[in-house]
Amino acid sequence: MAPLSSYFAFPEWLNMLTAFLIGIGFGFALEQAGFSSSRKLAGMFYGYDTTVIKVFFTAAIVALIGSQFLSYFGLLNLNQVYVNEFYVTASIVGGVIMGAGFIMGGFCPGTGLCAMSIGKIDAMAFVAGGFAGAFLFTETYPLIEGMANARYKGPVKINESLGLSPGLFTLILVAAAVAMFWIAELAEKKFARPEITNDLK
Amino acid sequence: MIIRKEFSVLLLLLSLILALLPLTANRSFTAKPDKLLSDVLNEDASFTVDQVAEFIIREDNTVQLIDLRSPEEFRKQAIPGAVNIPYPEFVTKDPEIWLGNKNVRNIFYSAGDIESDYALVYARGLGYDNSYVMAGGVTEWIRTVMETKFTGDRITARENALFETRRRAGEMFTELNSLPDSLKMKFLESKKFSAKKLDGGCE
Amino acid sequence: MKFIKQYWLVLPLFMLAVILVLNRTFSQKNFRYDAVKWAEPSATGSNILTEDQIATLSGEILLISLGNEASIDRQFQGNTMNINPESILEKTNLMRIRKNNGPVILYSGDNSVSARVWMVLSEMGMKNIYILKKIPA
Repeated sequence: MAPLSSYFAFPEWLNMLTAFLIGIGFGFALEQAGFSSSRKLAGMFYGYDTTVIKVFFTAAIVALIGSQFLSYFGLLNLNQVYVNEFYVTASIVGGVIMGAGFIMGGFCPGTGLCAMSIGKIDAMAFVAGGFAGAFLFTETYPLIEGMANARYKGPVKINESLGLSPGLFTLILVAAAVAMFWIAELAEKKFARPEITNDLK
Repeated sequence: MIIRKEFSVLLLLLSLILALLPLTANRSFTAKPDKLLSDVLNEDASFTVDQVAEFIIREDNTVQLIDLRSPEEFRKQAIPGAVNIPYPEFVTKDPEIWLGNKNVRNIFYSAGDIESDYALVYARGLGYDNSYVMAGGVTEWIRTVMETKFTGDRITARENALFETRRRAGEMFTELNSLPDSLKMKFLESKKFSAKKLDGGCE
Repeated sequence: MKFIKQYWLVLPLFMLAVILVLNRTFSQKNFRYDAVKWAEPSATGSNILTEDQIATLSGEILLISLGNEASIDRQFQGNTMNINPESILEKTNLMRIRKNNGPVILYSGDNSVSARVWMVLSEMGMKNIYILKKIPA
């Protein structure tokens, strides 16, 4: 609860408990939305089911709008919110590897754990593969260190590098997201495969 | 289907409001004006130089002295144990990095009074109720602690204790400020805050 | 009409957000958004006046002396008020300060009091407020 803790002093156990409860909620929402089915995830790639992009983009814009309002009302200190650091080369290479793993394995890291919890054997293999990858990365890190740290830009925000005000950027992003949802639903109709959700019933 | 449209419209309308607001990452005062005013006008918000002198000779680690003057002034004359945050820097950065530790009392001082008083209100307004000032600033420190003299021929025990505190704090002050510049800088640098780095990530 | 019928649930939520935001932005009783912006004159020192500089100000000047001990030696042309620093946030006093069409100057026998009151008023969104600096004798 880092952003809130500048206003109230929380004991450590409460921080841990909050993290635990948020984690449970996240896992529950993923499972509930059918994200533990790799068909659903792969559907994004083939265009017959675009739930993934809709869910993640909705989450992003709701969080964006919510955090900006909370900050405006003095309930959230945005300086205490972690901003991901931007390594240009590493982002591109990592993005390609992650995307390939995503479509081959049929899960992303979070949903992989989710599917593993409900006993899917392919997900267990997927998570084991993830750990193997992490192990390999750590062991070979000295070899790829140069590439991993190349073209470091620091914790940049998109609106700052575009020179837009935070609120205006939010409006543009939300408009773009809504347009994208509309296109995604058109794609779903075009590439429809009516039988894919049968196993969810 | 209709719920999706409604939700999209709601998000669009809300972000339209946001686009019109002058958003920054800066924080705003969270205290209630009445309460803040009566808190900062209360005597409890100030320490006298004698109380500060006492903290210094006891090397009290529940107290953090914060010098709001310019780095040049700080280099010339620093009160032992103080860290330097020039006032213009103090009010433009998020003070969380300096005042985040709720277990210490932060005592501001400046050359005279004004900057330390601004800082007191600013810090308390943002919710750092563990903030105080040293009344009178460096001017008062020099007048009271450094130039204290024993006059008259009789002295009570209390006066004697006060005099002794001032003398010892004065000695520590002189000792620190008569160090050669390079050594002194090293000492002061070692006390500087290192900005807390946030940690995090996702998935 | 059809739009309103279709989005009857959205509009109240939107109106609620608008009202909350307007209240936050223009509230007379609370501190305003962005502490850094309102504290800026104190960082540059542009809020501090000496007695000679009063003559250079334009507009209707309101001089507020905080507390009884503060008195201005020199003849001052303009409105003066004597307010106890603790009661400066009372409704009538705030109204008087906000309504004043020109600079408001705070004066006190103790610079400390003026500085603290200045920061409170400024963070409440009042512009054009100055501190008359007392030069210690």
